[in-house]
Amino acid sequence: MDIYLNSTIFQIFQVIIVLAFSPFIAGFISKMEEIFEGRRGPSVFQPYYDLHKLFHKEILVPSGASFIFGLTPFVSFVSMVLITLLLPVLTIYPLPLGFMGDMLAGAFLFSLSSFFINLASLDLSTSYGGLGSSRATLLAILSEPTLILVFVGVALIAKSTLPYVMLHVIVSSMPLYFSSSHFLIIAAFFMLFLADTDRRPINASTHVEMSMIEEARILEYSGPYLAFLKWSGYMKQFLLLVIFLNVLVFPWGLSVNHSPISLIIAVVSLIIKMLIVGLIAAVIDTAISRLRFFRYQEYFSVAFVLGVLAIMTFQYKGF
Amino acid sequence: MLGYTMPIYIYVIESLLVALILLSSFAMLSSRWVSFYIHSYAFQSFLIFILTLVLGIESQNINLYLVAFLTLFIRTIIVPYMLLRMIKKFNIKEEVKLSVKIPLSIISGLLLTVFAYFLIYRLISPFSPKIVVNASSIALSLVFIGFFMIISRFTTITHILGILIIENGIFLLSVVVVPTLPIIVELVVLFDILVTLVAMLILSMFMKMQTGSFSTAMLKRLVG
Amino acid sequence: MQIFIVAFLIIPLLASLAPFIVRNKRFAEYASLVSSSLVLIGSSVILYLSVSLKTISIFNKAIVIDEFGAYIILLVGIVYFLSSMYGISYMRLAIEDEKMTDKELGRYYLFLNLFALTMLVAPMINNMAIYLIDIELTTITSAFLVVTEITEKSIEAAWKYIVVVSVGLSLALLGTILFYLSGNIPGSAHIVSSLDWTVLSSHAAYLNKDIVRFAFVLIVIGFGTKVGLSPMHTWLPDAHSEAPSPVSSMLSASLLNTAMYGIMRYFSIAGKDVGFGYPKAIMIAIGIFTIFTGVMGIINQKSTKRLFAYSSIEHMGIIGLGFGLGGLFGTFGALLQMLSHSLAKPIMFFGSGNLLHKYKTKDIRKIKGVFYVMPKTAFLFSIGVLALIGAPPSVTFISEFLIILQSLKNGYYIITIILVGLLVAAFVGLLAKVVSIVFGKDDDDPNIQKGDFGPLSILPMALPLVVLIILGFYIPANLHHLLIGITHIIIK
Repeated sequence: MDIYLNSTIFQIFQVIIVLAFSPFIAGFISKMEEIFEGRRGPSVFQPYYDLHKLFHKEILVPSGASFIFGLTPFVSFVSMVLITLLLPVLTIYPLPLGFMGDMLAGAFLFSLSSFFINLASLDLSTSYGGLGSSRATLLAILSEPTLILVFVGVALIAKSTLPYVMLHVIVSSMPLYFSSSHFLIIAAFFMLFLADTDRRPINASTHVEMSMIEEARILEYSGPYLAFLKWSGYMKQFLLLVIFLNVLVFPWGLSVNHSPISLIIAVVSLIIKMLIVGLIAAVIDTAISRLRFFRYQEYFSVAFVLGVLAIMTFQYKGF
Repeated sequence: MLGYTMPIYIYVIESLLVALILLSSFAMLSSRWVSFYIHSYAFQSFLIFILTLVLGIESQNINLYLVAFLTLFIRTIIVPYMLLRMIKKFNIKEEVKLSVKIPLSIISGLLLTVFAYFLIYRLISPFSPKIVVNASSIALSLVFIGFFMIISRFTTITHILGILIIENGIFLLSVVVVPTLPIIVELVVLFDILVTLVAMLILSMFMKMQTGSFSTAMLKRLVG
Repeated sequence: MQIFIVAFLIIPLLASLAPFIVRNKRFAEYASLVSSSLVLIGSSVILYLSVSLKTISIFNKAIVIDEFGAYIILLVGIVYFLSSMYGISYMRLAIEDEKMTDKELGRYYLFLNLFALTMLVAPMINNMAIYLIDIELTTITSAFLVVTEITEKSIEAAWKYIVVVSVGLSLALLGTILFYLSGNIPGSAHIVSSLDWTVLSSHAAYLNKDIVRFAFVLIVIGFGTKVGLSPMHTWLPDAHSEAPSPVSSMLSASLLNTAMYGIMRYFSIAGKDVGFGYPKAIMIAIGIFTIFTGVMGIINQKSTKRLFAYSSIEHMGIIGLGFGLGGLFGTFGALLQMLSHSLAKPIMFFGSGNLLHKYKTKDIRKIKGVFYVMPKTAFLFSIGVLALIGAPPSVTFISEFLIILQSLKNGYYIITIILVGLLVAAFVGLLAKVVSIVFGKDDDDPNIQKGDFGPLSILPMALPLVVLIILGFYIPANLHHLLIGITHIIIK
């Protein structure tokens, strides 16, 4: 006898999966990078250890910090959880809260989190915070046009900005799946993914570099606050991967009904897909070098061109 | 291809290939290394070869087979080989001098592409299917991008490549829009490409011997 | 007939190989002179045949020569003959001055004759795409002639020439393909599946009008690059000034006409399709602008050969304007202008070649008082310039006058005023410069030996001058009928 689970359970599972596996994916990618560079590298579970350690430290708030400082980690974390509810992480059919917002809402929540981190880093008026936030803002400005174009492209293909609809459209129409505009959107989004998750050629955010962006913004944080910020960073990467994989690239393997078996299949296939893309990201990260700060716009103009071409070729695709 | 009705998968392949062709020309605009330009050109020509071959098979047009393999032979193999041998012989490692910075050139290329779409749409959309409009717009935008490369890059090799890209664009246009074009025309055009290429290579060799560089930035003595 | 045409084309080919068959400098010189005289005779015969037969079409209509084509072939033949004759004197002097080696001389004769061959072939070809490729080949051959003496400047000129013209001609190729498309639109009642101008012009009414409009613009830009229509003229002054004088005269006096021929073929096809108003407007606009550019170049010029290069641009503008104005007078005037340009330009380039050898410079300010140094050259040079700029007893005057008359007849008074103003400006500009060259105060530079060069440097200047002046007084009935016939070919 088949057991059918409630949609609500799926919805809860969705959040749990994201919370649970996002540090693993991050750990896997950094492990792979280390291996490609010829080192052994930390364990793939290192992010879990980090989070564990940070959560057991006391909360330190620098003197002169305003309420923003304390608020930011929670805003960031909660917005990631909210985005989770909007995306087809496990199921091909929309879950109850999936209609709460479209992809634009997701983008809004991402930038809300980023905005608060910027505010917090400016809050203490340290030099590193200012540098990091100004650089992050520049990157956001440069990537924004492409992001909008990707949304427009998706909206043109799916006639909707809901991620679930896009997924259905490309699953049901093979010509559309193989159309050039689809691939161009994928390429543009992948470039944005690399930029947004702080990978090369945009940045290598190790804390030893003077050109750091992400690290500089959260330099003042420690203890559980830092843990929340880090966790939300892992989740951001995970969620972008979910959009990339389940909405754009390979929307197969998701659960099609409410049975627990399909839930397990969905989780396993999602993790496998992510590991593959993580591997690719790690290869890219180790294979190419970082761009100079003043050449960022070259990278983003390429992504922009891809977005525009996607829209143009869609207009005349001929089927 | 104008005048033929084809199964939908051909349309899909065609739209993918032309998008890749356009991307390869943008790849050239986004680089400053000579050898990268040459490889992109070879890649682009190879894509054009595949497109021609697919169209030839689907329309069972013997002329297109012949033209496709000539393209493979000349545009994809001989021309890049000659250019690569040239830069190896003279040991060119210098970066291409740009008069327009890379992001601006990419955006300009984009504007030119939009302009090409506009022109072609006005010109042939009344009697042609959308896919032909798409492919021929991309062909015309190759012509424009070739122009842009010639005026914005100061090396003999990029001048040559600019002309070759224009030629590629025209060839693509002729394959897509006028598949019945007499084979003799295509042959003569290919011959012309080779002759022009050889002449330009010889001239740039003269230039190298006289001035010690392939840069055309010094070409400003004759004015007025 | 076929054998005759083939033999006619083989002659320059053989002459081009001469320096490699017999390794004697004199042999190559005379081979090219003999070949060019044979070509001149042959082209007259072709003209005669085409007039009597109306069209010569051979090789399954691959080669079709009508009166227009034969006229252009004759113009090429004349300039080829004059240039080969003058080339002998010029190259001997260049070798004396050690400006050139024997190897370079061999290359010069090879490409000179090949260049003539490609130009002779162009007006014969029926298929417009192949005509275009032939024009591209003239670019290649003449680019190597421009670098006869390998210097930085000549390489620059040749490079500019080859890049600009190749790009321009690729646009013309695009236009040609669009012309083909215009007759091959699926679903239309009449498919015109050919690129032969004979077919295109007899089926012109069936071509798609929108595409023809666009394609004609591309054709004018493309071939206009080769003709030197502004603003695509940038290569022309450089190539003309850096090439050796015989080559400059061939570039200017015959190559430009050969490319103009292509524009006119398309002009008549486009006119028959969309009505003559459209191509005429384009030709008038571009013609006026080209004349303006040429005159501006003339007024502010410091180099002798660039001076005449800009004068070529101006003349091409006048020819384009004449065709654009259309009508009997305009077209007739433009065709006559082609002839007078082909006769007058070699005089000027040969004269400046002589000056270059004497003074070792092209700078107008440094060449003074030629009349006291080289009286014969100076005499021919100054009469030649009068013939060039259209002073009354020359045929140039008649052709320019006809064009002005046509613009008055059409009621384009503003164009008439602009044209007359520009012609006067060119007149004054050229005359002032040449007067300062010929009669300016002599510096008595002791390094400059007085006296002319040999007869081979004088004769090629004298011959066309005589013809120019005779034609100015009297245009033979045959020529008149021929030009009327061509006018009907173009505008009917």
